[in-house]
Amino acid sequence: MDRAEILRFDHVSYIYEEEEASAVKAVDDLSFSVKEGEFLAVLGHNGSGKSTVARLANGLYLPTEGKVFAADMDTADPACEIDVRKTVGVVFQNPDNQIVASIVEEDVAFGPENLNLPQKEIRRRVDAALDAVGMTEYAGHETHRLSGGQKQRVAIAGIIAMRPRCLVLDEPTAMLDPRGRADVMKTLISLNRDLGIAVVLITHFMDEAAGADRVLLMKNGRRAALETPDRIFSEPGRLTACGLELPDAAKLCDCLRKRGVKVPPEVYREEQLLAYLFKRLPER
Amino acid sequence: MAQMRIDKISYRYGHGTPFEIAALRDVSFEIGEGELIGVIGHTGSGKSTLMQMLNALLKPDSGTVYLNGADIHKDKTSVYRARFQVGLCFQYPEYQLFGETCAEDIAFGPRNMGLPEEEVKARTERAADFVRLDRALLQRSPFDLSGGQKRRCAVAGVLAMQPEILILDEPTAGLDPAGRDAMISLIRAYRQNTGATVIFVTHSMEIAAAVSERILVMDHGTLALDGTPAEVFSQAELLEKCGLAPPFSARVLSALRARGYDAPDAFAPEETADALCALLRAEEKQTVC
Repeated sequence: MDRAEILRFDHVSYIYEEEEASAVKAVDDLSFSVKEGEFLAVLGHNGSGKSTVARLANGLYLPTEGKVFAADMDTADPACEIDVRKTVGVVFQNPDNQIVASIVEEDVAFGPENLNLPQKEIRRRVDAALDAVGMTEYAGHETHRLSGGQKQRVAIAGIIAMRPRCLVLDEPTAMLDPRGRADVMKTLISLNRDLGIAVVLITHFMDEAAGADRVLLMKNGRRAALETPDRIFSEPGRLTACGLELPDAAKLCDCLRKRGVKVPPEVYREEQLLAYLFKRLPER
Repeated sequence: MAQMRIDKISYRYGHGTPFEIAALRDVSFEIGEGELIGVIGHTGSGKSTLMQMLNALLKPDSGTVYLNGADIHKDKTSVYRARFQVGLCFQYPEYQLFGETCAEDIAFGPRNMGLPEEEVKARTERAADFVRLDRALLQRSPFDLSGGQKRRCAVAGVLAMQPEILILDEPTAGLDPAGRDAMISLIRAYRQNTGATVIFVTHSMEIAAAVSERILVMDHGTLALDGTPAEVFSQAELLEKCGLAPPFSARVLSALRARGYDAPDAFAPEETADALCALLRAEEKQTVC
């Protein structure tokens, strides 16, 4: 039996400035769903509607047309607002805009405090959340002295502390250096695998999408494809048409295939390509 | 004579407070006219501080920055001159747009230079054309633009000053592949057309390898490496110590070198694929024989 859906977009459109001449349809008749515990990557060019999807996912925006369901709750139903936000947590691109307190653990406690939880439970959740993002030793640190990657992990902890079943992240690594990016990615993978939290990762780093269960490819607000990464990255032409490109390893695989090297079609990730090359080129 | 000479500069933030931190330690290097330099380093390595030293926004605690042979902090005039000759475009410059219209925003720099209004207008339009910002948008508020357009508008504001040295702090951060490629060709075209020196900071090793002729690697406020992309990216161990990693192609080839193969340096996927094909063919021949 299929796992239950934690997030579903049902023919959703979203129009900015609906009343005005400059109205823009940012999301256009978009349907897709995310299963419990799934890792979905969302790829698309600047302006493809990716960020609007993040804001629609937990009711920050309500669809102009169609419906968004978090678990089984309609995000447009005012009675469900709090439960929707508890179910689907959203993390944004700029960590500086998401930190509300001056001390790390106070920042992480902000969400659970607003849920009116008992003190003991708040403490437990804050500790668990900091542990989950690998920031325990920074609990008493000042937030403004952290690096970008550390701030972003604190922002993620703040959402995790509310125990969402689905985490939506809008380009969480765009402003980070390579180490910060790697740390955030490691955190997301462990939240997904170890805690079973569904992750929707909106990104335009192709290599971050390579490890996802499925990839939603967006173009001009519409769904261009929804497939496994090996299918997505074996069709470079479709990606290019969407204003994107292959991840580095997949690009190299593609170049090799064009030169007649028989790289198996399922190979597109860095470690797969290295394993393939090592097999053909034994140690001397 | 070098166009710029950075001579043993050091700089500390939070001087005299418990949070004092050395952002630059005894950094020295020269910049030749027309060079295309990429600067890499992890967060907090001193890249941005260094960039702000080059146009006199920050004054070193010790050491000197020379522009065309003269100390840029000699007096007020030399500081002003440095600000105009060395154009600095900050990280995420689109958050610094402030003009009521795009035209006003782009014109801010040239107007400050005291140029006649006609020249200001001509430069504004030229810069807008250069970054492919539709002239119809010039009278709109910069806040009406898309992210990519805002970024280009902000860059146009720096280009309109026609700096001899153009510095860009992470010009491609947050752009999608198409936007990134457009920004890179823009930087190349500016250098091609004007002969200007271009220095850019990036977090992407792939971009640093593909675009620069020379790479500076910053680590803990020091200049850890200075060389061609091939020289810099062959130092995998040192790069790792600096919190960086060579581009993917360089990593594949160096992994094969570690297995005893004679693999060349390459960064572009095409070149790397050619090198790999040659290795695979040679290996096949050997097995057949």
